[in-house]
Amino acid sequence: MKKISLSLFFLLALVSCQRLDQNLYNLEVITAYKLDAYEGDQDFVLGNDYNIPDSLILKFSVNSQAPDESTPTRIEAIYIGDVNQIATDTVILYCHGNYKHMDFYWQRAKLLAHTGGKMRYGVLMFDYRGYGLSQGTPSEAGMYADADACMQWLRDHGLTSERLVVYGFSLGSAPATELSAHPRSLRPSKLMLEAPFASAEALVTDGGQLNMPASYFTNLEIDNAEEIKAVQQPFFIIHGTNDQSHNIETHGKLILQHYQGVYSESHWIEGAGHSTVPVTTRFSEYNRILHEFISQH
Amino acid sequence: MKQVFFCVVIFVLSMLFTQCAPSRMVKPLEEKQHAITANVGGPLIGFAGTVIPVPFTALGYGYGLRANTTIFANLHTTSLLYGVIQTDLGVCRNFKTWDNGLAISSNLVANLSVDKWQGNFRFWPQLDVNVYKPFHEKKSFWYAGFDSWYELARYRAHDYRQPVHVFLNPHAGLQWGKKTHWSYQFETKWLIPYIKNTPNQIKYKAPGGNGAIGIYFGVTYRFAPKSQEVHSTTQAY
Repeated sequence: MKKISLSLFFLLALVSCQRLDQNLYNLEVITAYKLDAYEGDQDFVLGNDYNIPDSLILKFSVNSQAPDESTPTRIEAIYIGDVNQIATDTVILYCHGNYKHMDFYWQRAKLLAHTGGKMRYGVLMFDYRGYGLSQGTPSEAGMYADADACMQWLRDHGLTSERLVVYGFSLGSAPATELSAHPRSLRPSKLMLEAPFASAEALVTDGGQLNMPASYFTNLEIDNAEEIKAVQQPFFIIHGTNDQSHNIETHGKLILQHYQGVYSESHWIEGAGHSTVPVTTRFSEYNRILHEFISQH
Repeated sequence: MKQVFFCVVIFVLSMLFTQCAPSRMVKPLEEKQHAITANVGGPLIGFAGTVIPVPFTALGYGYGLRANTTIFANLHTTSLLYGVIQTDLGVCRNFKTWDNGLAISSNLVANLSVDKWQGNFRFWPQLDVNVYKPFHEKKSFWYAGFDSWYELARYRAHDYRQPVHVFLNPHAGLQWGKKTHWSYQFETKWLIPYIKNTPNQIKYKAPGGNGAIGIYFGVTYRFAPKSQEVHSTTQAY
């Protein structure tokens, strides 16, 4: 019995408290945002037709405070459009993916700003804490707080819930879905997801084939497939059939199946990978289907 | 690799959680013999411009219950680093030995794991079958066979039907030793060769894009069996 007790004690002493979570965020250190002058790798680069006048680009920061924080964290954001028109415009809040920072997603934000015509909608993009020049370290709760802080900023500038559209790409599907299902400062009127993932659990079982719990690898509890059940707003999903990161069957289509709201539309882009949905769709068509959804539903 | 959420770490660790070790016991120990083992290795992946095996590690212990039956237990130390206690408890039995030395053995294994974070427990039974042939005065042997894991759950996350229940991994290896207590093991196996390794962010190295090729190294220290301690002789295998 003594030997067994000693063995158990030794075993428990060996169990480390390390987690993989902080290794999951794909960060790059930068000293300034370069936007069009950014020379790092990008999914695509738009032509000059998509340029945004400097007068319609506002870089700013907001304070974000997660529930477990005693002090706020400074979050960097960019608004594309006329700030003075926020009180009357429809605005797309863009929640980007896990890779790098806003410079990498600048082309995507510009493309969104051309939905329905040049500058038809305002676009707000931000870096989650720990990404780009935003302070702090990444966390699930922090990500939600950061998105909500941007909603607060929009609300303070006159935006109302019925004119807020939230768009989440990849990792951004988590804050977009969470804040649509459980609104905080504003209740988005529409939810749009591109190449989302169903949950941490689904990623693990996809990778391992075995029925393995996500808790073996991460403390993240992101579960878009469950959260979507609480979303009543009109829902748009676009996903590539050749997505090598988030299998369309076990992620995109599963989320759509779980949606129980008033209206949904899905676009499965044949041959598109995780990062190539806008390119494969073609920019003009991509803008067209986005605008059709936003304007008609 | 772009915009990859959970990419490398999750996929490597999860997909290959099941295949993080070589065949546990191929040739049973002698009766009442003790042995300790350590091994490292995993599937080959493309990483930083080169090809490496994922370095999963495990420590183990074996005991010769009878002349043809050995019980063993292993602790997966890589999993332990991340708060997951993963062990495999098994029994190895030699079923037949032919006159030319060729023999056949099998391992029946219970893979048990639980994490310290949420206490999630999993059990996967495992069956290995090996044919081995000693050489070098029976101090070494080569072997070939397969190991197989079984997923008993019908559904996984989000009530998604579990698509595969049998994970079969053919393998071949060599265990060699000299006139010492030590022996060394090299094994290669083709992990789940009937399952496509895409979509996946990890660049697994395997023929035809199926499964992954794994490479494993092990070292074993066999204590002298009590019957031989009296005569001060040792067995190297």
